[in-house]
Amino acid sequence: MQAHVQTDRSRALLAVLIGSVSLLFLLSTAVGRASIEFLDVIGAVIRGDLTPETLVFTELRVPRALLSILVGASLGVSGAAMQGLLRNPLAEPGIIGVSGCAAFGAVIAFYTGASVVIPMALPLGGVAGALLAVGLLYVLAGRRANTLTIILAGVAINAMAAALTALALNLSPNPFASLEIVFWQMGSLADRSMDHVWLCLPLMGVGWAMLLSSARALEALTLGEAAAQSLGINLAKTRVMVIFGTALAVGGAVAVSGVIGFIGLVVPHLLRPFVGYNPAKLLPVSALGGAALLLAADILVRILPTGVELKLGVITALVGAPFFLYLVHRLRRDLA
Amino acid sequence: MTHAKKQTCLVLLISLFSVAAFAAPTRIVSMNLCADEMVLALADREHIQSVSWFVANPDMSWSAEQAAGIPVNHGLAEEIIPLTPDLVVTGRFSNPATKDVLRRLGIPVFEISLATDLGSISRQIRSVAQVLQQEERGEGLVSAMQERFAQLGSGEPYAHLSAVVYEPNGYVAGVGSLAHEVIQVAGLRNLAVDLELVNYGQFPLELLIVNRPDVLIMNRLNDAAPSLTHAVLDHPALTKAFGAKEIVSIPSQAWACGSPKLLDAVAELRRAADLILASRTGLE
Repeated sequence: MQAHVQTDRSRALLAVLIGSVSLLFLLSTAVGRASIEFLDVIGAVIRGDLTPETLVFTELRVPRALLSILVGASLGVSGAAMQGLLRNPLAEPGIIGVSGCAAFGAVIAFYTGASVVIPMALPLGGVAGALLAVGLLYVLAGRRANTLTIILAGVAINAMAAALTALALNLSPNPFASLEIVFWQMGSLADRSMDHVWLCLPLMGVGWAMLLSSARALEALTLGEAAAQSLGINLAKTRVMVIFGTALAVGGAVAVSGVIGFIGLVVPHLLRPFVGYNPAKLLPVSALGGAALLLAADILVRILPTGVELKLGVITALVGAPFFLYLVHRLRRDLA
Repeated sequence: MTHAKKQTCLVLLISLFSVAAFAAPTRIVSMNLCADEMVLALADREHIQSVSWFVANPDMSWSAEQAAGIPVNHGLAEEIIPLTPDLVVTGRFSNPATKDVLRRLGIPVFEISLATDLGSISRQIRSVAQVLQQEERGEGLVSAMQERFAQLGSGEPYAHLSAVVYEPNGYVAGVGSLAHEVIQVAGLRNLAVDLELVNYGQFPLELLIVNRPDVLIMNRLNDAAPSLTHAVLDHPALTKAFGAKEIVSIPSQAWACGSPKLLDAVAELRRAADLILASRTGLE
């Protein structure tokens, strides 16, 4: 009976999330500074008309909404996977430094002109940066690190990544480069195009596949490493899948959007009760939850009456940082 | 050195500077891009001690070739004082602390004003010429500019075309800017005026495409190091919304400073407008 109830609950959650993402997607394409009649422009696009309104819709709004889904999903699923692998409730690409280093890698690829010659260099730079962060994390924190060590290592890696990113931007001969640090550290999806969607999609897709394939292993890991191994789980392979999957997904995401923090932290925690604390089921659900959260944040930055559009990282930090504090408070006995 | 001796030396130095101020300056230092352009155009080359480092950069200045060989300064008082200038030409937004130090040492500092239209450009040329005591050259420049302006002819045929200057980060030149003056003199309509933007206002890409101007004036530095800001100027939405003829690339050096070279930008804009008009009548 219990199993049936769980499956029903999970199915209901999936349905709700898919519905929310679809609705938010439509809403995202309907929001923007230009006043466009939504139904009219949909009709025009279907007919194949080429007007300024359809251009704004297909070249500016749709890519932006798609990227919200792709980036949000990547951040959500990698947060859930890291929490499962490290069995650590505070693991998240932003906190442990993976996003920060991915931004550094992307900045090097972009501002040296490498991505002008080879466009794929941009997401690949992000992935390289992300892998560097994970490598450093293992070096600093070791294999059997406790929460505190991992968080401290993350703080150190983030500090270094931020400093190197700022240095790289200041050394660029282009006078605008040093001002763009705000984009890289706080994230934004403004003025992105379909080119960016095609750039990040392949690497993200592979990353998601790798992460989702580790679902069963993560479920077994909740019983502890020894028990998981006795169930036939290959721990080394799982580690590789999660690490590379995270690097691919987060590296690709940060390369096109900058660092957007806290989605990988908040979404898995909020949804865990609804999947019966099962890490396997949490993965796809976190992807959808992350997509929904980022779509909502991106809609919000466009309808808020601030003069200049807010960066996405500001919204996610306003939601995520208090949540982080709450988590630290709740887990303080387990953290030391 | 005793205190009394030091004081005497200082007084002598100051009086020397003051006396020198009444004769034509022969040790001119310029601290600012627009000041450089004025000084290079009006003063004798051998009287120019130093120009700012901006003018030596061809991406920022059209006088780069002219400035080749002249030592550069970075606007720092400790670079300028050892040159013992008898005139320092600077801009309104130069570092006030630096200007203050120079003035306290008795070095004559002349601030050029902001130019916002052809009239104020003429006035600026005349006032710099007066300080440099090169009034003849100044009048020559002004009359050449006025002649060029007369030669441009009427802007009537272009009156129904709208134009917008789209700068990096979405800034659009509105009333009170030199870029606006370029559009006005050419005879076109500045779309920013219709949208009531004063001086520089931020304009999202969406609005630019929906309020499509006939001519889009941008500055794409194709050889420059990349930045996200410049990458936006290549956004597919822009390249699809505007045909190749409708995008005019005018380097922002053209209106960074008030100078007769503004009319080069006007000529460039007229050329592009002619092409657009021709292609439109060709269709009818």
